[in-house]
Order: sequence, then C-alpha cells, then structure tokens
Amino acid sequence: MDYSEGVTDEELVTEYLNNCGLAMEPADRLANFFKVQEILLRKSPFLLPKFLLDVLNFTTDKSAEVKKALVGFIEELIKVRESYIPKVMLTLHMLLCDESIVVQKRVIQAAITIYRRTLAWLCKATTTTDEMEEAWKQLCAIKLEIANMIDSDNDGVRTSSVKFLECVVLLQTYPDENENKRSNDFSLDDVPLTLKVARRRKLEEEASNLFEVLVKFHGSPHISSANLFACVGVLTNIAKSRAEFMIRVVEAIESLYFNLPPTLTTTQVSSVKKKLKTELSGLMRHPGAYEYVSKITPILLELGCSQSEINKMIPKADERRKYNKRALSSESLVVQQSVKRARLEQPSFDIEETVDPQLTPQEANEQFILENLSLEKAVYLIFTNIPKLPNTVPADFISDYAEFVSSGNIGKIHLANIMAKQFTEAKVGPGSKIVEKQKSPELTKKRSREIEEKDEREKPPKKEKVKVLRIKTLKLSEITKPLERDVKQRLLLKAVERLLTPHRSTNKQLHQKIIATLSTCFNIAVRDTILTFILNDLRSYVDIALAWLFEEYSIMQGFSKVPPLRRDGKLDNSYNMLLCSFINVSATDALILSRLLLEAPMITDDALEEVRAVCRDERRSGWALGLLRDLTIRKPPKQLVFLNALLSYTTYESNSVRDHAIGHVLELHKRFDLRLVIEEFARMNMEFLKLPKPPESLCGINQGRLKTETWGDDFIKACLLPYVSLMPANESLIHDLAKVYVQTSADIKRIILRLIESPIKSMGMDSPEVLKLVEDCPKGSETLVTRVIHILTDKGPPTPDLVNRVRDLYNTRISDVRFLIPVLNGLSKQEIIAALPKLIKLNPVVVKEVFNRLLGLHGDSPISPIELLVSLHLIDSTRADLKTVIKATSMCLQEKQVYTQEVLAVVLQQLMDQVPLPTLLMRTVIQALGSYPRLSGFVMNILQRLILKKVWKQKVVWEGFVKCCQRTKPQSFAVLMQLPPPQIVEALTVCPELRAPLKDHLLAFTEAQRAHIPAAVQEVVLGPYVVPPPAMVPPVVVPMVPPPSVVGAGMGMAEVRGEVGVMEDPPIAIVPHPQEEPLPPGMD
Amino acid sequence: MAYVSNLRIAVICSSNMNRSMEAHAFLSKKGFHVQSFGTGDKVKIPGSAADKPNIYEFGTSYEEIYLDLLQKDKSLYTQNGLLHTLDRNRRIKSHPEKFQEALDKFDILITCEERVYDQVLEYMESKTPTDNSIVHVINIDIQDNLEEATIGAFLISDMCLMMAKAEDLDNDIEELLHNFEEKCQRSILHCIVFN
Repeated sequence: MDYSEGVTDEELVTEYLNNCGLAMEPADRLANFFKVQEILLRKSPFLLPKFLLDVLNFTTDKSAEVKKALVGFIEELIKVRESYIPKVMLTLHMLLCDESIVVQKRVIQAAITIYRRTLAWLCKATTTTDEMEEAWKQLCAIKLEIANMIDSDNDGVRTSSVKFLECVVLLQTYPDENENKRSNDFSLDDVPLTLKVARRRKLEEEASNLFEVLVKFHGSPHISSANLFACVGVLTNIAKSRAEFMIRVVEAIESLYFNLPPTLTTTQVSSVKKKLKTELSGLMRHPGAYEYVSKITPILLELGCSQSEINKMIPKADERRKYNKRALSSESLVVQQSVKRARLEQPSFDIEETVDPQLTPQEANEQFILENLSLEKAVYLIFTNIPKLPNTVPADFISDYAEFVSSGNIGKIHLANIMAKQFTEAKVGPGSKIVEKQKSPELTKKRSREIEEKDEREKPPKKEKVKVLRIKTLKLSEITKPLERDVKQRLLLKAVERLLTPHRSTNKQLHQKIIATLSTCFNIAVRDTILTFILNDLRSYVDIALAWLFEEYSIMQGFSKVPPLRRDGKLDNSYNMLLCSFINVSATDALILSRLLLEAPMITDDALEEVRAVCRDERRSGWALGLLRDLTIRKPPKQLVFLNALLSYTTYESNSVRDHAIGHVLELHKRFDLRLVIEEFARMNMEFLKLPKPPESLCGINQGRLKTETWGDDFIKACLLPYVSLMPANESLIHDLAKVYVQTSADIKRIILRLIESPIKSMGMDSPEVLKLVEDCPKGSETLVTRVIHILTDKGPPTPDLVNRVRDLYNTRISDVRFLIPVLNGLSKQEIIAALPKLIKLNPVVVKEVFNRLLGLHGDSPISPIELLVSLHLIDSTRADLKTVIKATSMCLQEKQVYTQEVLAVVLQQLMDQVPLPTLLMRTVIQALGSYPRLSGFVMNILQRLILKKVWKQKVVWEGFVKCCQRTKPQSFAVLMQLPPPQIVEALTVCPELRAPLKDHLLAFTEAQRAHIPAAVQEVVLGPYVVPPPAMVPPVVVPMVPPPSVVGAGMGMAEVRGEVGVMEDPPIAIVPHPQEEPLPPGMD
Repeated sequence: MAYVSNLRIAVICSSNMNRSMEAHAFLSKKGFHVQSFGTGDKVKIPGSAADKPNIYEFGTSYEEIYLDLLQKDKSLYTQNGLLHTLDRNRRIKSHPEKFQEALDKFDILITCEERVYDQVLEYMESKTPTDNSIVHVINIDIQDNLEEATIGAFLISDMCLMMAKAEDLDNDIEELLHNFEEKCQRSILHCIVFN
C-alpha cells in the first residue's frame, strides 16, 4: 500500500501520523515516526510546513524512544532547513527539560550540532529578524541549562554536558592561525562584528568562563572516571585547537596527575593514567605545547614513556616555527616554574652532608622539604597545628592564599616553597648551614616575624584545603601500620572483656544490645569469649543471652543483614549451638532454663533434645516436664512437637517421670485444641496391647527401656496408664478400653483390671459412660465389667441406675450370677432369694463375700439375716444340692455377731412354721444349740412341738430329731417320753444308747410322777415285764413356760429375748406342755 | 529480529579472525546486536612456522582464506583448528572487516588486547564527532588462542548481559565494570569517546 501509485506522500504522512497516535506499543509508534521523518526530511520536504507542528507534538509522547527520535528529527531538520530553527527551539528546550535521562542526553548531544548550526546561520543572515533573535535567546537558555547540567546527578548527562561545553568554547574563541582547520568549521572569526545579538567580546568572555567551568569540573576531587575521560579528552582537544588555553590545560592535567581522585579504583586509575598518557603524548606532538615540554615530560616518564619516545614526540623546529600562536593575555603566569621542575629531576642528595653550597638557604630548604615532606608528615603537621589556628582568618592570609585559589593548583612545590621560607626564617633545616655564608635576609626582623606568624597560620589551612580532601579519603593503611594478627586479636578480646564487665552505672539495655551485637557480628574468638563469660554465670546474664539469641535469630532468618565477618559461616547452626550451650549450662536450674526456652525466639530440635535429657532425670523431671507443658501452651508454632515430647514421657519407664508427665498431660487435656492429639496418642499406645510383642517405640533411651520380646508388667502399664489416666477426663474412652480388653492376653487383662480401679472410682457410679459400658458389655469383657461394677460398689451401695442395668444385663444376656454380687444390696428381697441357689454354688470365698453383703456388713441389706437363713433352708433341693446349702448355712451361722442366740431363736421359730419342715431344720437346731447351749430350753420346746407335728413322718427331720434328743439328754427325756410308744421304740432302736439312761430316768420318778406317764410308754421304756401301776398324778404344768403358740406367732426380738431369759433356767424335770397344741399321740 | 538489548556492540581484535569472531558468534547467539572488526593492517594468521604467518588483505573473504589453507596444508590447519575457525567464521559473515574503515556507529566497543584498544581510541579521537553520543571503549585482555578466545567470549557475553540489564548504562558503567572486574578477576581498561 505504501508504494501504491495513487497514494500521495501527504496522505501517507497523515496515515503514519494517525498510526502513531493509535499505536499502543512505543516500537510501533517509533517505526511510523521514522517513516514520517523520512518523507518529510528527504522525500517531500515541501510537506514540512503542514506537518511540522504535528511532528513536534510528539514532545508529549510517553515513550522516551519516540522523544529521542523527535530530537533526532529536529537535529536533522536543522541540518537540512535552517529556516526552521526558530520553530523548533522551544520544543527542543522542552525536551531538554524532559524527565527521562535518555532524552536529556540526546538533546544535549543534538545541541552540539544545533548550536553550531544556529550560530552560523545567525552570522550568515544579512538581517536579524525578531524571530531569529528569539530563537537565539532560547538557545542561550538551553546552553545555560546544559552548562549547569555539569553538576547533574547522572554521569552520562555530565559527560554529554562536558562535550557540549567543548563545542561552545571552541566556537566562541579565535582559532589559532596555523591550526589545521577542519572544513566547515566555525569560530569567533566568523562572527561578524555587526551582529548585535551575539557580540564577539561577550561570546569570548562566555567561552572563557565556560572553559573555567570545565577546568574546575576536571579538578573536582570526586569526579567519576567516565567524566574524567571525557574531560581530559575535551581539555586536550581545546588545548590543541586553542593555544591560549594550552597552559591551563597542561596545569590542570598535571594537577590531576598528582591529585588523582581518591574514589577511583585501581583499574580506573590505570585506565585514567593510560588516557593521560595518550592525551599528553598527543599534546607533546602539538607544536603549541613545546613550551611546556618540561612540564609534561616528567609525567610522561612516570607514565611509562621512555625519554627517547618523548624526544620523538617533540615536533621538529620548523614545525614549531610554523606554529605561531596568538598573543595571549592570560598566559604569563608560571613560566619560571619549569626551571624548578627541571631541578626536581636531579638525583636526590644526602641532606646533612652534601648540601650544594651553590644553593641559597631557601633553595636548600625547599629541596629538603620536597624530598622529605611525605604524606605522613603532612598529616602529622596538620594534626598538630590545627588546634593552634586562630578563630578568624587573618586578612593577609586571605590575600596570599587567593593567589593559589586562582591558579587552581597548590602542588607540593608551592608548599615546599612557602615552608622553605619559614625554615629559613626559623633557621632550621639544611639551609641553616648555608646561612652563615650568606648575607642575612633582606627582610627586616619585624617583617620576618610577621611572615613567620602569618605562615605559621597559613600553612595548615592551606594544606588542609589542598590535601585534607585527600587525607580524608586516604586509605588508613597508608598512614598506619597494620597490627600483628595476634596482637590485633588480643587487643580485640581484651576490649570485649572490658565491655563485658560494665560499670554499675551502665545503661543495662544498651549494654545488652552492645554485647549481643558484638557476639553476632564478630569472629569466632570474640563469640567464644562472650559465650564463656555468659556461661560462667548464666543466671546473672540471662538477659544478654536472650538478646544474643534474638540477634542471632534475626540473622539466621534474614531479618538483619549477615555480618560481613560471618559471610562464610553456617548461620543456622550457630543459633542452634548457642541455644544448646545455654541449655546445657542451665540444665539444673529450673528458673533459668524455663526463661531461656520460653523467651527464646525458636526452640531447635537439638535444644529440645537437651530438654528431653533433663526430663529423663527423675529429680528434675517434675519441672522439666512442666516446662514442656508451658512450651506447648506458649509456643503455638511448635506446639505439637512439644506436646509429643511431653506425651512420650507418659510411657516412660520410671514411675515418677511417668506420673509427672501424665499429670501435665491431664492439665493440657483440658484445652480443647490439644484434647484430640493427646487422646490419639494414648489410644495408640493402648492399641499396642493387641500386638504379640511390645512395640519398639516403647524401648530406647527416650523410654528408658531395653528392647524385649515379651509383654512385661512394666510395658503393659506403660501402654495403659496414659489412656486410663485420661478416662476420668473423658469418660467415653472407657468403651475403647473394653474393646481392647477383649483382644488381650490374660496377663494384660489382669493388669487392666488392676489399673482401672482408681479411674473408675473417680468416675463413679453416676457416670453415664460407665453405665453405658455396663449396659453394652461387649462380648468377652464381662470380667472387665464385673470388675468395674465391683469397684463402683466397693464402698457404698449401688445406685438404682446401676442396679437396673446390671439386672437387665443379667436377665437378658449374661446369666452369670456373679454379676449380681456387687449390686446385691440394690436388688429386691425376692430377687436375692431367687438368686441364692446360684450364689451359694460359687467359690466359698465368693459365697462368703455374698453373705458379707447380704448380712449388711457393707451397709444396708434388703434382706434381714433371719430372712436369709430361712430362705437358705427353703431352697429347693432341685436347685441346689443339700451339701451346698449345708455349707452355706454353716457359713451363715459362723457369723456369730449377726446370728446371735435371739436371732437364731426367731429363725428356728419361723422354720418350725414351714410346711413341710425344712430338711435341714434339725441340723440347724443342733448347730444353734452347739453355739448357744443356753438355747436348750427353747430347743426342748421345739422338740415338743415337733412331736405335735408328727415329726417322724419326715425321715431326715426325724433322724435329726433323735440325734438332737441324744445330744440334749437328759433334758430330752421328758420330750422323748411324750412320743407315741412306737416312735419311742424307733428312736431307741436308732439310738440304743438312750435306752438305759431313759430307763433310769423313768425309774427315778416318784410313783406320783410315774403315774403321769402312760403305761405304754413305761412299758416300752422299762420293758414288758415291768409294769408299774399308773399313778393319779396330774401332769405338772410349768407356768413359767409360755405357750409355744405365742412364740410361734412371730414375736419381736425383745420379747423373744425376754422369753429366752426366762428359759435360762428351766426346771429339768418339768416338761412343758403346749396347751393349744393337740396332745401328742398316745396321750389320749 | 528483536535484539535482547538496544546496545550496538562491536568486538574488535587484531585480525577479526579468532577472538573477535568467537565473541561475535557467541554474542549473536545470545541475541545481541553485534559486529566484529580487526584493527591490524593485514589479516595475519599462524602459518607453517612462527616466522611464516599467512597474511591476507582485509577484504579477503573467509571462504578464500579457507580454501587457500586447505590447499596449502590441510592436515596442519585441521590440527591447529584454523580450518574449523574459518569454517565457523564464514557462516557468520563473509570477510574480515577493518574497524578503521567501518561506517557503523556503536555504543560499546570491546577490544581484546591493549594494543587494539589504543588503536581504537586513536582512531575514535581522530574522527570528528557527528552525533556526539557516548561510546564506551572497554578492553579485556584475551590471549590469541582458541581456548582463551572461548573463555574470553564467555566473559564478554557476561559483561554484555550486565550492560543490557543496566537501566542507564552511562551512569552505571563504572559500578558495572567494577563488579565485572571482581567477578572475572581480570583487569580491564575503559574509556569514553564520542561518535
């Protein structure tokens, strides 16, 4: 499209300009801009008037590149069309003020061409229009601004500014006549005298001022190397083109050479020296510099040129002759100095001995000073004399010193010159030896004194001005000798030691900060010194220790800069080592160790390991584990680490360590966020019990055990204790214990049963979880549940809730009667009676326990001892065999505090009323009698009543009856004789040994008494042949004996006792008659 | 083609054969706007003996030199790597160029030995500046053998990368060169001239 026929350049430019406006990318705009530039400047310049403003509008473009291109455009435009100069000058000025450094530099560079062009254009013009004048003023403003930019902050801008000033200086001075003129060059000669806007004189004056600016810049002490290259190049260039400046340039370079900026690096210095060498060689070859050969030669020699090389450089005489420099005004300053300089080149001579007699004292001194005034000495002089300076500068000094200011060069020679004067006046130095031969100085004494005083003052400030700048930037190494390494080290350590033991008045915090910084920023020796110091008495210096830790920590974390002396060391480790060594020292000091760990910014793993070691010690474990607990609470980032450490000690081998740990864990368990972790740990340990052998995690140094293959009690306890201890805090844990219990071996079960005692006790009967366990009772955990119930009911009666659950369990799932034992006291009487047959079948020990409960030894029992014994007698023989019941009853009867005489009487009375008579009745009667012989009367009564109940019909009871009679003879004879005769016969048959006593008894009766005995009985007793006549004796009624019916009606205990008391001494011979009972058979 | 940096770089050695070409190849691979030159009067390359170098005029193409050497002693010039070097060179550009005859303008002139540096400076000083833009002339001493040339090319590339990264090269050059010097442990020369 660009090349299509129909499109005119005008349209193209419009299109490109539009593209520029639209393009977002600077690169696109730039491309379009160049196209516009090409058309406007080269192809169709006639379009310029139309589009110039559009192009200049790019001043406001955002891109520095586009603005640079615009500067280029302006530069080109001015080259092609000078008439546009007035139109672009303002834009140029605006661009100079652009914020972009790149654009600024570009403007300055362009300004060099533009300035030259503009000045030429101005001079060529026949008339000066207002527009031209305006443009020139604008350009002058630009020039001024660029000149000021020599002080810019930017190196590149300064360099360009220097280059621009070169151009201005060259343009506005008169050329040397024989200068090798470049074509189309311009100089002051070309400025017409008639030009009003730019007067020659003013231009020249300006050039000379700007030249001074350049020289001053060149001599500034901190000039950068790049600026220096530019400056040296520019100055030599000026010198070569304008001889009038030659002397100043040579001096400036000389001064530079002797006072190289201290800021330069060694390589920069070598680059600069190389540059100087090149430029000086260039000057040497220039005919205009011939006069200064003596000045330049020594420098070149020092820069490495050989004398022959220099000689070759010097222009031939005819060349020099051709070179005719203009008469110069500002030049006649220091010609004679070349002589002195030449003298400098002479070999040095010995001061004392070989003073050249030809010299004046002044010269001798000057020489001496030049040779001996080293930097060190100058510094010394200045230091010692500064205090002696007056407060105000003496007027005469200012005037003298001004001379040096204007020349811009105060080298060593000047100094030597002035100091030599003072030497001479003071009559010291090598010159004093010559003095005698010389005439006394012309100066009057007074005058000399004045000068002396003046110079005394003058000297230091002058040197200060010249050299202090260098002194300040002097490398200290030049004036000081480096100390021996070990001396340095010793001094360093001594200083540190002094710092460590501060005066009482020292600001504590500041001291702390200093020590901490010292210890972190210096080498190992310093650190070790401080560390040893702190470790010796950590208790007193714990604050410093902590400050140090923090300092170290911030370095390690990169919060503060890594100290240069420690760049190569391992940083994280140093914090770690530091903390560990602190912990090591304070391992027995609970207070300090706690402070250290709680306040330290970070606890490393190694540090934790140290704490663990302390925890393992039984004597210290108490507080050390407490510290772990505190760390868990107060150091959230590593909470789990500390918690795990603490937890690991809950399974530790030593009891005291373990108990401490468990105590602290229980405290932590109260915190909701830690609860789960703790429980998981305990659960994990408990689950270990399912394993065939103890896990390795329970062995090792951290657990205090050796590895083993079998579950010892210690291992089992270790696994269980944490869990079991947590149970009171979280009762629901008990269910998992039950689950694990089922899967463990007998040994472990035993331990579990033993260990749950105290937690279950503290949980109590009301705990819903315990009740739930009882209710659920996982299969296999019956023993556990039983144990739980036992523990719960060990002290105090069971609650109804518990009883109900046990009862349910018993009734529905596990019919093991043992379950009931703990809650017996909570059951109803009927239930107990129902369970009795089963209960008494258990192991005697258990039965004993059952009776203990039932007899109320542990509190109230729902069943009275009487009822119990009665119930035992009533147990159906199908449900429990007789032997068991016998054992049970015997066991009861052994409880003599419960089964007293009175109680037994009531029991027997009640048993009598049972139908049929309980099988064991007579056995119990006999036993009761055995225990309480005083019951015999009562027993007789019973026996009589048994006769009424036709006791012989129940075989076992009847046997018992007879046995009882046998035991209770002779009282029982009366009862025996009340038996019907067949039964007497039977009884005597069963027990023949009764026969004779009974017979004797009967025979001992009086006749009257015998009359009461039925004949049949007598016959049976005495035998058939003796038939005593029946007497008419009424039966003797003992009034004291109450009717058995009354007793049988269930009298209260007191009454029974009273009755028994009555029975204590019954009349032997009297047989009481139960009146309401029917008469025994055979008495009718 | 977009360059990694706007900087116009010239690498200059004596014969525009080994050191400058090695760096030229390396830098252009890295995407720099680079050209290479020699400052010597003639193109001199090693010959069959130390005192019998092969000498060509600037302007003789690498191809021609290559063929010439091939014909002279193929095994010798294969063994000493010259053929390889020439082969590499002819892929980069057609012939050695003399710096003093070049018309292009550069921002950076990198020289490979002090003599070349001097010649470059001399030539640059002798020219009348046209646009007065700042040119940095930097010398890094590189011995004229294949290994050193390779090492030198790496160094030059490192330095150019540093320069490309600089926001305002004219302002940062001193510090940059100082850092580079510390890094490469060679002393370098630096000067400023104007285009």
